[in-house]
Amino acid sequence: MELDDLKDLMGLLKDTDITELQVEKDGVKVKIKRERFFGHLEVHPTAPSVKEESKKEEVLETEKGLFTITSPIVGTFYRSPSPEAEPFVEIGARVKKGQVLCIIEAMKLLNEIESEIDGVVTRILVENGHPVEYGEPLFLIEPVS
Amino acid sequence: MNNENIVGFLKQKADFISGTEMANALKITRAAVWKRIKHLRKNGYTIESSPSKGYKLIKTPDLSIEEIKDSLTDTTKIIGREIIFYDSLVSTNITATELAERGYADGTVVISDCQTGGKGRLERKWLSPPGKNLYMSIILRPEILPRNASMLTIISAVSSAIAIRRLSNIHVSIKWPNDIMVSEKKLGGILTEMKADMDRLHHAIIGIGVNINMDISDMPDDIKQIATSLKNETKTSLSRTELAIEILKELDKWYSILLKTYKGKEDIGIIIKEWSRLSSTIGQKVKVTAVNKVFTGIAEGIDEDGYLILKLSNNSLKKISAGDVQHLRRG
Repeated sequence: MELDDLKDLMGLLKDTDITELQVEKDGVKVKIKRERFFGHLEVHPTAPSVKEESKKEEVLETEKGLFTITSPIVGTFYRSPSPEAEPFVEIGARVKKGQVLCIIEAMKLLNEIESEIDGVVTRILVENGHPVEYGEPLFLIEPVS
Repeated sequence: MNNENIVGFLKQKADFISGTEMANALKITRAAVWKRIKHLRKNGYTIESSPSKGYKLIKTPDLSIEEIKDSLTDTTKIIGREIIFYDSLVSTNITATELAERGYADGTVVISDCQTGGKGRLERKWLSPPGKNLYMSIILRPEILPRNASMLTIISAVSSAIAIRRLSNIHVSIKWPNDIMVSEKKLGGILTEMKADMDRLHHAIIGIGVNINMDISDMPDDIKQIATSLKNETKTSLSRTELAIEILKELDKWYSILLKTYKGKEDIGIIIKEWSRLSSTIGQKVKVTAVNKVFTGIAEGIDEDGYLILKLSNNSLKKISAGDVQHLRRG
């Protein structure tokens, strides 16, 4: 969830009589509470514990047997090396361990994210050019042996 | 075997120095002296020799790895302990990455006279003709978490700007995060690439390109409008060797400070303050172009990770991690 999303939510509340709103998106829970008489907004982000503890392992085996590739830094997500170039991978692509999946950029520091396993890309969780948080899941990979 | 000491001897004397004198001082044979002289000549040194008088240095090459090594030997702790020179590379960052993967040490420097595929952010081309500019990449292996690595960009900009100011007296400034500018024209750029997973930074490659002796007439039309060189600003040629030395010395200093901040022995504020002092972005009205969005606001400063804090028109603050910054008016 982004700051802009929060602002939208708060704007939405402003002109209504609703005093409390709880939203969950992408695993992030946000509770917005409004004191009617003072007219100000209180924001209580309640981060889920998974994100908070940001596990040491980059690759986590999920229940479905899919591997999650997460971002090691806060930055901007790029699916291709340049705006004109083809994406590194598409859904359904067979990838090898060590193959570059995307680039995360933070202040011109470009971090190539590699697949940790041989497998098939089953989901791409972030849109090109979007900001990502530390530990945010980027790809789901179905392992092949 | 190194040639540094020979260069040192030759530089001390304006006149001829005998092979025997150098051989004795360096505790090597006269044949070894001759071998080193031959090596230096191959690397662009003009050395006159006379059977009776010995050797005399006439001209040093504009880019001399021997001299860079010699200058850094006693002054830097980490940077430039190993320097590798190439006449031509596709890109110094690519070669440095390969060397890093082969295990080359923290502080190893790769310099090339020219690049056939020099690149900047998002694979943009970086003009890299031979004999004119400085193209170098430094391998860094700090023992830090990848999420703390963004400051590497900040220290490389600080080091480059300080070195260029000192050597050229040109008032260069940093445009966030690490473009080296003269007024609003680009003089140098830095591209950092790293290999990391969640818990470990394997290596970071700092690629530094500075336009030194390139003439404006050497540049294609679309570059002319947005770029400049030190020669174009000062109207004199500058030594690529000296600039490389100055940048690497400064980088060694700021890298040491950065490593100390991670251990809590130095305050990160020192680096932020220095970057802010050298930056032309802070306080300016700027337009930031990210992939899908454009933000306009006042650049308030950078946070302790080096991210740009932008004050938007509705007075809210926006943190920027990547994008092209355009200064809308001089502050």
